[in-house]
Amino acid sequence: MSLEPTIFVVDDDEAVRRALTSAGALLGHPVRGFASAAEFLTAYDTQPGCLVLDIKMPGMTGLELQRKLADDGVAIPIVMISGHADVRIAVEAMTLGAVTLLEKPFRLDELLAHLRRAVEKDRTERETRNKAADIDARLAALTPKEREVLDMIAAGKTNRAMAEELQLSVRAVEDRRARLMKKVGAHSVAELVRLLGTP
Amino acid sequence: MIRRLLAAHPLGLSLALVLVVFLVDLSLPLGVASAVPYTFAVLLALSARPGWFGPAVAGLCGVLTIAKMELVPERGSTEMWKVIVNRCLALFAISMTLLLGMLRRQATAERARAEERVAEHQADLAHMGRLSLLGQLAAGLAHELNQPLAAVCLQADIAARLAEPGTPVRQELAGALSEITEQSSRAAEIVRSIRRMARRTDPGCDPIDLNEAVRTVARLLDWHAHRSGVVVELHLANDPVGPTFGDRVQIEQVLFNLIQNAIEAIVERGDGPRTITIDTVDGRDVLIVTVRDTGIGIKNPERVFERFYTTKPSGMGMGLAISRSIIEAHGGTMRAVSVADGAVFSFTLPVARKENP
Repeated sequence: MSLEPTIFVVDDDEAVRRALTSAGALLGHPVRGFASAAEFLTAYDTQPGCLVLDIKMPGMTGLELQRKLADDGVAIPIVMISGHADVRIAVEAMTLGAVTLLEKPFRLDELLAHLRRAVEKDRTERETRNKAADIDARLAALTPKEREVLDMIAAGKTNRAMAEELQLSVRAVEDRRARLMKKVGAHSVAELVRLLGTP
Repeated sequence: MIRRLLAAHPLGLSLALVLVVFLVDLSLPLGVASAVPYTFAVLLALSARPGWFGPAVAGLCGVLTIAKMELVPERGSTEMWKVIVNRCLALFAISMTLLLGMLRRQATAERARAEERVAEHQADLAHMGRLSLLGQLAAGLAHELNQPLAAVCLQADIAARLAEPGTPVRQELAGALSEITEQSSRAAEIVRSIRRMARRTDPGCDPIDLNEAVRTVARLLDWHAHRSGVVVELHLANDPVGPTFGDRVQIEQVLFNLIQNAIEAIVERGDGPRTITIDTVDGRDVLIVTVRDTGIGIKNPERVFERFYTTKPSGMGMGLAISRSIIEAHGGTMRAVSVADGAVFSFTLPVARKENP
């Protein structure tokens, strides 16, 4: 899987697709064009980047593709384009999370600005998702007893209170606490709590 | 010949007939029989334009019938009461003829008025059909023009950016510029086809190039077909096809209707092949256009041309009715057949060769 952000263009009109492809190339990212939603679906495998999607297409329409991607949990940012965008279509596209809806014909600067924004949005979202996945993995490494202590720390209990509740020595609680801090990779309680709050 | 004479001078002929009958009646002892020809005179007078001619002539006949009795006494042994009964029967025949004739006249007038109303209505509907056609055309053209415009707009911006000093990209620049030229001519071609279609708006009687009409309409509906995933195949007769005369816009309206129906039928079916095949055949005396689709087919081929018969939820049931009346007004025929895999609509137009103008 290529990790370089790619701009995917799906438009059934060949001339418009060529123009969008040339425009996307100006950003310095690889650009791949597809004539239909089906073609895109067979080729796309959650690569990073963004999607430029025409709404009116034979077969699966842009809105249908957007809905399918959302249903499948694929979170690629989408720049929608349309010949004429009535309010209903615009609302539907934006509700499903499109970055924007551009009405044809539009200017290059406008398109490039939204493409940049979309690629950037994808990057930050991927980062957040990776971090969350990472934290989940670290938390999963804790033993049930360490997890118990972690939850108590998050609830703001002192070592003494924990020792009493768990019927352990304060020393044992401190040990467990140090071990779990190390496993999770947190340097302070504040950091630990922040990690817990992120997912 | 006689018909024309009767129609031209109904009143004169009727009065002449009355005079002849009266003279014959005066000179012959025919009794009631002599009055019978008066009924023909009344019928004749009824066919004259002003309504009062019939009753007037009938009245005249009645007066003459009675006058004869006074002027020339019946000869021989005929008794007076028989004479009076005879004359009364004659009067009865005349008045019954008048009555029936008047009733018929009234019925004819009513039918004529009804036909006039129907014709008016039909003109209204044809107008409505054309208006809705215009709306659909406008929507389609807006979409179709937008595509090349979008491409031109982007490519021009790209070209401008590439043309900035210090950008060593001759080849890309040339590419963008040629793309702009190509897409501009695509837009211009669309505009030309609108102009071709809009050149005449009043019903005319001009030579029509049927192949050209098919190409124009297919091109105008291209976006609609494309969007619905339908492929339109043209199998046209060799150019030039035999000339036919009429209103090109109306013929294009018929083609528009047929192709649009075909697209809708295919969309409604959903699965299966999605092809519309349009054939033109140049016969000796007629041109034949066939529009074949792979849609849901037609349940009632004999009813589809009826007005207000529709199978579409939003349809008015006017399209095919208007189409058929347009084709028939051009001297052609139109029919529909349901086939195994869809429907076939075809119409003919007469060829105007030099030897059969």
